[in-house]
Amino acid sequence: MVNLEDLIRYLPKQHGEHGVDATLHMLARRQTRIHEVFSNPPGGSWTTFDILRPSSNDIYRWDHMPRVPEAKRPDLVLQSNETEEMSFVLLESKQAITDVYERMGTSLTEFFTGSKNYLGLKNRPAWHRKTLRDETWKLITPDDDEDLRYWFRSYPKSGVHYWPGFTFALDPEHVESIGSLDSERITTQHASLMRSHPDIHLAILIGWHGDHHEPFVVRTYSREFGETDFADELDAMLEPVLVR
Amino acid sequence: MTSAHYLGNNLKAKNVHSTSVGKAIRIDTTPELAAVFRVYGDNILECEHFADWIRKASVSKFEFRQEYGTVDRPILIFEDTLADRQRVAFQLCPYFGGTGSEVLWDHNPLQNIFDEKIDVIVTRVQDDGIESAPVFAIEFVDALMAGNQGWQRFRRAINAAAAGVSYMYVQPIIGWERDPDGLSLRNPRFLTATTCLGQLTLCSKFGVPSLQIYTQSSWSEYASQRGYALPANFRNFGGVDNAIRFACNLIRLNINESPQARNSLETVLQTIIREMIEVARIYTRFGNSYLPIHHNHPPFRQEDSDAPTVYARAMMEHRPVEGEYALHEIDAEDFARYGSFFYKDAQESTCTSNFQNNVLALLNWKSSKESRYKARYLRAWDIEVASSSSSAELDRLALQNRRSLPLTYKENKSEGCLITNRRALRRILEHAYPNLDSEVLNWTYAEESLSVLPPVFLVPFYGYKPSGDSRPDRGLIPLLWAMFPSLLTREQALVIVYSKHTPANWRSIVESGANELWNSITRTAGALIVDKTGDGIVLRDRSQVRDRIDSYG
Repeated sequence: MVNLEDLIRYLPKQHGEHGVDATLHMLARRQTRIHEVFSNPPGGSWTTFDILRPSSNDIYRWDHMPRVPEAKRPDLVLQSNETEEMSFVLLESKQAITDVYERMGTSLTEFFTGSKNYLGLKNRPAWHRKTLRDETWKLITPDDDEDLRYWFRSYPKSGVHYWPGFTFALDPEHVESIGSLDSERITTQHASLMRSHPDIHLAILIGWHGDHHEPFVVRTYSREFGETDFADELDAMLEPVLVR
Repeated sequence: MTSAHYLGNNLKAKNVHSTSVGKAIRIDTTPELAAVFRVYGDNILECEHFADWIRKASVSKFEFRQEYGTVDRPILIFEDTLADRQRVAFQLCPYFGGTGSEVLWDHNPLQNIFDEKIDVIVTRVQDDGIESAPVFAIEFVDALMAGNQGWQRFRRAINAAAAGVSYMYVQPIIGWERDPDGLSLRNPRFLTATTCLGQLTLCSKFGVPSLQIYTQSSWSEYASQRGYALPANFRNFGGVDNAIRFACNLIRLNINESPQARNSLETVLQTIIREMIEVARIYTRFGNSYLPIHHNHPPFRQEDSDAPTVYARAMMEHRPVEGEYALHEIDAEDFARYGSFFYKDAQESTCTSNFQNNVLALLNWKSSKESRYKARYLRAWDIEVASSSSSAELDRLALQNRRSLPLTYKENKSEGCLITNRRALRRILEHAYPNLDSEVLNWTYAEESLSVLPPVFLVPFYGYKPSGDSRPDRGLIPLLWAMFPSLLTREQALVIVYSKHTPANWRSIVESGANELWNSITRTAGALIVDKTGDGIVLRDRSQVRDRIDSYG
């Protein structure tokens, strides 16, 4: 008979960017305080963004959102609403911290807000909606009220907050034990990253440890993001694997 | 009752402030498992997509019990309410790896079966720890069915059927194109009948389920309200629930042979095939893609035929469909009776004038063309034409001699044609390509041949764009093979690659066997001509390409 211990020892040869995305996505999926808007791990190209409208139980869907050269489509988008305030964590994921690039945070934000020659998501109409409880989506037709189609576009700017971040794998990605982590080095790297890229507010490192290659997370937030309730909620989401 | 049992060791990071990492949960209640399956996927979302099917207990009849393993690679344990609550584990193994053929797992479930990475493959871990061949495979698509979208992934359907692996292609029943900024609606995008027909034909030929699963979306009702063509009973389609029933019964039968599971499997197969036939029936007579040969074929000719029952039975017995419903036996006589005159649209900017004037102009028939064009075309196929013939007379002449002319399966623009007059074809090729190897010419037609040669299935193949991916074209020849397996044989299939952008060193690329665009040709065709270089090769001799390239047959 196959036993669980044998199964758990069945490991991929590498975790990489996919492991980073998979860990965060699965953590997001098993809680309800933070809403996952979009997830796009390597090996596919998803295009559907589901956004929770504040002060309602309605989710609005933007589908067929393309990759564009003028902005960076995030790999993971998380949302937290506080009364009328709407906050988004926009994460770019890569294999290594050295894969960071200039204007990463700005470019992630511009996917929502738009840039020259690119109409951002918020300026486009939503095409579907449903309540949190419903299984089926309803179409928002071109004849429907602007308040349904373009509510995001007309939403007060002051009520929308974008928190771009960068998530990457530890290099090398596996350690025998968490105790062997050189946390000072990691903290220094994160601080350096965020100093040189001030448009990045979150640095989230994912590593794997032990015989079973369990994922763990070391995160650093900017002071501004760290002071938000969203930061606490995100920590709660990461809690099962978070190294504090 | 549900619970999550993660591994974890109260991890501590040196020099890190607080050290509460993870929850120390041991496996102290190891369940006895009736079977373990591995769910390999292109990524975690695809694996999860399938896991959500099993989680839908109202349909799957599996109840979720526990979760083990790591958060990024969980093992999900279910109880089968239809089989004494036996426990079945599904281990999610997300991400095959990059674009190459290697995978990141010790076991490669794609090996020797799939040319391309597929969204989900489920295998069983046997008691000795060895993994079985795939139990089934799934491809999820939510892209618009625009242009050649349907062709792109078609090799996966063929790979699965040829290896005896059940395959599900899950796609929306309709979508809607928008302008580039997503502000306004353009046109609805319908399912393509050809991919549905191709998969039905694979079911027919191999007796292996190659199924299309149609998902409803909010566009379906919108399209219906506006009078767009949808299957009459689309609201009653089983959609994903069909797929769940199918997959779960395959799993049950893989664990234990049970009459109940067999009956359920056969029933859901009938339902899925009925929906596929319904889709094929409506879209074979649709707009610019009227498919007369198929539209007149028994499974589609009449509503409420017993074709779904016949197909389901054949697949339960793993044998080809026999009799009038056997789509894989569509032959030259079907083309002669119902086929259309061939017409292929190739832009002048994409191909040489030699190809346009000396090849395509002699394959393409359009009654709107001028008399001189039509007379030249008819004469090329050995039809006597009086010099004084009017345009209408030439049209009549073409109709009278249609069996001798290039015929195709689709009205309007098409992708390939059947040519019975091989001698005339040889003459056309000799004239267009004076340096063409005599072996290719003799493959086309040899005077000394004693036997009557079967018709040639000629595919003018673009292949190389100025930029971008060749993936859509890679699926074309496999799709044509799936639709007409008795006609795209080594003796009959001729491909002319006509793109101006075809690399001059195409022979070495073919020889290497490392390029999937060319592999898609060499797996099927008997001869290959490259317009740009004016030469070609015969592909019957398998030593010309590396051993690993096998034909589908």
